Amino acid sequence: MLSRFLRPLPLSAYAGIFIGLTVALFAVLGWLTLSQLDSAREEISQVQRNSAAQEIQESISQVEVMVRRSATGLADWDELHQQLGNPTYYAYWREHRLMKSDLLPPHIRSAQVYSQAGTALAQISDNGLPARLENNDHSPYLLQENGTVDLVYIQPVYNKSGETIAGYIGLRVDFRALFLSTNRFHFLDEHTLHFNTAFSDRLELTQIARFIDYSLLVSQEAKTVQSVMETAVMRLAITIGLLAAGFYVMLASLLGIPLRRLLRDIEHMRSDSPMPVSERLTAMPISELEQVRQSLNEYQSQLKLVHSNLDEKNKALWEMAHHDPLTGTFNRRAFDLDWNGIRSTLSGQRLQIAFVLFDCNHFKAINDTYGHQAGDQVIASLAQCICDGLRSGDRLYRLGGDEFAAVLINCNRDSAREIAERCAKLVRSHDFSAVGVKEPVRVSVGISLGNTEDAETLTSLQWQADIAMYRAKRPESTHIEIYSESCEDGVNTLISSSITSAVYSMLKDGLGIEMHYQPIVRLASGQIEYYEALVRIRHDSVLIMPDLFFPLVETRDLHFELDNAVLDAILKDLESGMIPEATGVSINLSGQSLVRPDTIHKLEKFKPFRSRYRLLLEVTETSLIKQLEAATDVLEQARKSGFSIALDDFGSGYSSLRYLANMPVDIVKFDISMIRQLGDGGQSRLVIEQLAGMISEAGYSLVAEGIESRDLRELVEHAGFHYGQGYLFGRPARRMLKTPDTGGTGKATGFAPRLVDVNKGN
Amino acid sequence: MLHFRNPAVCVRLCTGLVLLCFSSLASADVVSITTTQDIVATAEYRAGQADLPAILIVHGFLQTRDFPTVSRLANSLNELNYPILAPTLSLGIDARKSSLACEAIQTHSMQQSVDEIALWVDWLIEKGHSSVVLVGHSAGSTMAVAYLRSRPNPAVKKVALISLSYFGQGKAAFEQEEDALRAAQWLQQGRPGLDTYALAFCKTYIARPEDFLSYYSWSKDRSLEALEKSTAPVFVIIGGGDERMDREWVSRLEDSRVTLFGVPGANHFFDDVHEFDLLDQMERILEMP
Repeated sequence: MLSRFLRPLPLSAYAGIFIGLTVALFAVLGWLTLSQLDSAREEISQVQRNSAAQEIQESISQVEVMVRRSATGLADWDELHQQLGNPTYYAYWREHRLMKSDLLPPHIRSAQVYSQAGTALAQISDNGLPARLENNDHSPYLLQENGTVDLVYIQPVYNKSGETIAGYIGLRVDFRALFLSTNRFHFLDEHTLHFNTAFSDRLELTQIARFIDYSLLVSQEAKTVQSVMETAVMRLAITIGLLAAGFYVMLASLLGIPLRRLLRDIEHMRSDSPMPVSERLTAMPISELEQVRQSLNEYQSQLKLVHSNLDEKNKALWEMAHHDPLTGTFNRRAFDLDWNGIRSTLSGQRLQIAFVLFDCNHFKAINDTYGHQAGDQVIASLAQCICDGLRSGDRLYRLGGDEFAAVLINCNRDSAREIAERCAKLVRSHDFSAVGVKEPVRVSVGISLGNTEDAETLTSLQWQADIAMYRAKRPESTHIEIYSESCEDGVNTLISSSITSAVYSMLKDGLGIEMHYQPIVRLASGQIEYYEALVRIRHDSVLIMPDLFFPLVETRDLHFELDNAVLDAILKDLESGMIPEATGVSINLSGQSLVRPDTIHKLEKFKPFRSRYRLLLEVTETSLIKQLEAATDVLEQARKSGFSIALDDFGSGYSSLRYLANMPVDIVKFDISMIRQLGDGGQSRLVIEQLAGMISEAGYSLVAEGIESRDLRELVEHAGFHYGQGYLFGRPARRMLKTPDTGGTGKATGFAPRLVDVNKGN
Repeated sequence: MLHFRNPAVCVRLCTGLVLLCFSSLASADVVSITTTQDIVATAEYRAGQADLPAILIVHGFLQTRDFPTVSRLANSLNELNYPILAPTLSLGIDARKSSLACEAIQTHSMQQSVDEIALWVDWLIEKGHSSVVLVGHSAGSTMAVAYLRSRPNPAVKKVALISLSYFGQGKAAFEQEEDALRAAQWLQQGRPGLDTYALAFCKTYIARPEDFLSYYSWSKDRSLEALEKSTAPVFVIIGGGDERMDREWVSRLEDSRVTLFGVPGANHFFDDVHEFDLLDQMERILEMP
């Protein structure tokens, strides 16, 4: 959580924070240590003060003891008693004996002996002792005189029996000298001792301590300890500082610089710019970083390898995605990309451009005759010939089947024609017998010309080339046509820009699609069994038939989109109840839709109608054979969803029974060409009858298309067909026939489109 | 005639010393008297066997009864059950306890000391001791001689004088004849003041002239005269190593009525092993009729 509010910091910042914290911690600890040292020093000082005061007191006591001991000795001295008994020679004795006696205390100033009444045995002038003791308070006291301090001590002298006071001995000593002689000072500096004499003429001995000033003797040990501690703290501070600096340098050199180098290397990797040789990563001082460096180098090498492989794969994939595997030319996806690129990059430039379409003449026949393998080889050879005929740098696109296109930039009409003729000539001169094709193979070329400056012209170049192509396909054509407005006169009925617009509008928005239904009749009962749904486009009140827009669908490979639109339209009709219940509807599906899983999802929408309608899917034999495995999966799914599968146009292609056995179909619809051959009689009739019989016996239901007369109906019924379809029973119409039209004229009632070969398209 | 150490007595003394270690001495009582100068003088009295004579021991010049020679002798004789009285002469000081320095003011005289000895003899007689042996050491012997010359009590049956000395020894000590002349002159002039003299082994002796002369006058002749007139038998014990005893003095003593005992090697104070010899001699004296 916290990390959300913290932004990453550089290593130097962490190092700085760590060093700062360390220094701060040391500063606090150092301050605490010094503070505790001060406290200890203060405590020691207090102890010293107390001890010094005690020393002062003890010295005072010592002085008193010394003086008392002397006085006591004197009081017990026989000679003193002699003087008390007979003081005749006291003055002499005092001078020669008392003042010279060893019993006197050191630093004696004067001594005096007093009688029992307290009178001095002799008046001695200037001896500093009173001539007479005034009262019975003989406690020791101090006198100050001329800056000196003297102690006066009076001691009673008892007689030898100790019963009565025989007299007194008085002593006056130099208190300061005696005090200093005790020499007991360990906590105060005796040189600083000063006796304050600011007291009155008489001071009790017990009070003298207050008048003694002194300085404490600083303990050498305390000085040493303090010095050692301060030195230790200072050394520690220097050590911490040096360690912090060393740590920073070490961190910078061991981690910071290598990490920055690693980062720079990664930046180079990210920017995909090569690392300068001078900045290449060398060995790292830390093993973990060295492992990272090595891993990074290895990763970099592997990444380069992967990039290289990926580039190759991409290239290969691009090649696969944009090239036709059969011919090696660019495919339709590449065409779309290039075409869009040309339109966007060259738009606004004044360049002449030629759009050239190539189409193999009668390729379907070749394919049907020599098989797909030969057809593929023909296609590949065609592509090679056309490529050889194009200019260097021009691209050839296989748009589908046998149709190729080339976009010639900066190419005028003459050049385009010249190139087209060169390509056609190369095709003509190519020996296709090597692949088993005996017939001459030719291509038709449709050319449209435009200017890149005109965007509208560019948009219409393709259908213009289509128009030119269809014109070139005409038998009387030289097979190379350049589009002009006059071209449209001839092919207007085939395809036009309005049809293209109608088709795309229908596919995009579902506008204009109109489903017509042609009945399929059970021959035995004559009842309509179901209807085949056939697509039409109504555009500007004109109904466009499949043969007009189906080339566009084929050219643009719009089968799946068209099937989707048809399925939606049928669903609408079913929902609207337009289709009579208890009948059914048969839907044509292209081979492209059969291999799309989306188709299943779309078919699932028909489930609600299964109970009321018979649902069928019609697929052509060719589409099934091409993608049998993938289509089989979709059809099996469809069968599970309630659809019956009808094989359409049986007999127009391979018509192999081996294939039929492997196809997931329930109904076989014989192609109209085979039904017509039935009417021709002879060998063909027998073969078709036998074929129909065999298929019928195999369990398939048979549908005969193109029944337009009663005679043909009878032949079909005789041949074993179960159902029939054709004008005899009814034309495709928007309005449903409840019963088949079986008029003798064979003309069906209802709306009739201009072209009626509905089975050629949806 | 000299009598030297008797081995049998020596053995007994040793036995007595051993017994001393395991038996308690007779308790010593400090007794006192008041002198004619109204001064208190003290003595140590140890009771003894009643039928034995009491022994009064007088210490040397300016000393006390605690002087080793005196105290040892008192203890030893008391161990032999002799009643002992060992006074400390007051020398003019009330209840004097310690020896008096030569330099102290000497306010005492020979006569005062003799009077105190007489008082102590009387004290013993009052105490019930009918027979007294007077013992003196050094100058104490001279005082005992002076006592014999003054008015000796008949109860004093024997006198034993140890290291008997005399005053006026001249340069053998520190004495000077000029001092005596000056003192006599001062005395004639009626000047009672203190003066500094030399007396015996005191180089500085501060005293009044009469007091000084009271001691100084007890010369060899005066001492021998007193001894000649003594009614009690006098025994003198001298050490063979006593340098204070000049040959003439010893010779004259031998020629006198006193019985002289010599202890070879002993000094003036009978220190060390000679204390036993001294005791031997004292026992012989005491046992003599």
